[in-house]
Amino acid sequence: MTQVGRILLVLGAAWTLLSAIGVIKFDDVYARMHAVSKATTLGLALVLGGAATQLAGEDAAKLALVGVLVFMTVPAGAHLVGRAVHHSPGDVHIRIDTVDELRDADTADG
Amino acid sequence: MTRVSPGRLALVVWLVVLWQLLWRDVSIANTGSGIVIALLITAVPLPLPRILPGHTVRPLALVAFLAHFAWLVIVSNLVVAREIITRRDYIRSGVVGVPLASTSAVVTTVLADAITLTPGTLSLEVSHDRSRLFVHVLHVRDVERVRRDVERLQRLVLRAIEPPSATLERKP
Amino acid sequence: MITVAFALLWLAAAALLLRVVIGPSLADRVVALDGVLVVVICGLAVEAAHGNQLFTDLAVVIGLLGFLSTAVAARFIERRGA
Repeated sequence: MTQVGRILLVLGAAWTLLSAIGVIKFDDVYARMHAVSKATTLGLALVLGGAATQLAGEDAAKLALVGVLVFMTVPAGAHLVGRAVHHSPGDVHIRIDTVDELRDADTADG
Repeated sequence: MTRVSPGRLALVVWLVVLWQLLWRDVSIANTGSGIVIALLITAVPLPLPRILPGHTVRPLALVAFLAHFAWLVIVSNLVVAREIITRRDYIRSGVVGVPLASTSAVVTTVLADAITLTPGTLSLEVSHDRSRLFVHVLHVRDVERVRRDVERLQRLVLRAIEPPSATLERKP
Repeated sequence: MITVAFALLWLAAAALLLRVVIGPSLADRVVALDGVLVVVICGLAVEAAHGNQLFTDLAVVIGLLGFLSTAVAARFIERRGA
């Protein structure tokens, strides 16, 4: 296992742990989505990079594919949950301190 | 081969490559069976929305956009990390609406994904008529600044992937 | 060093699962589970780096399907509330 590979794997794993701590620490759904869609995906990218240094061409290509897939889908997933929360009839705790143009637009549309 | 569109050809090639990857072996048999299966899949009229035709991709602008995108991913992660590690709560969140220059699904999707991976922003909702994108922002210091940043990102995307002119609402 | 990476991933998964249990809403749980999926893919990649190359295929499949489950859950939240 090369030194670079080792470092990337540990760094990536540590970054996902960081994002997990963020998910626990943040107090509203949207902030938690920020943590997951940004930090966890980067952690994965680092881990995939580290693993790719250890593997032959076609396995490395598969990992690259996984990376692209995750980068496209995790933010989209967060977006879907975000708009579901907005439309949801239930009472979800969200925190908005300043402007909320989405709600303004909704009330304007009636 | 007169009725094969470049899009379909690209898709077939892509599927064959994936097929070979999954079989862990590039052989004549795999390539052959891969082509047959890929053709079968693309021949079946899947009810997928026809969103791709009409878009021109500019490779150089695309590379520029991807480079900027990679940079944004790193910065956004550092911002999130700072937010997670420090005890003080810097969050002052808000939702900002940004006008979209194109109703093209591809452009909006790429832009929304890029926004989610930019520092402090998260794509939340697209308005019904696809004219506005609503973005949740973690640190709102100046609403107009947020709008300007998103518009700049949008310009980069539009330069890389140009949508059919029918979908252009206004000049970006 | 492998054990360090795995230990970190375990901790990350545990923390995310804590959020799944606490909630308080379904949306929080779905977001945390999305994170758990990514951590699982990380684990598969680390394992693959240690010789077990079969896991790369698993990683591709989970990467594809994981998004699907999040999308379905989001749809559910939209209709029935969190």
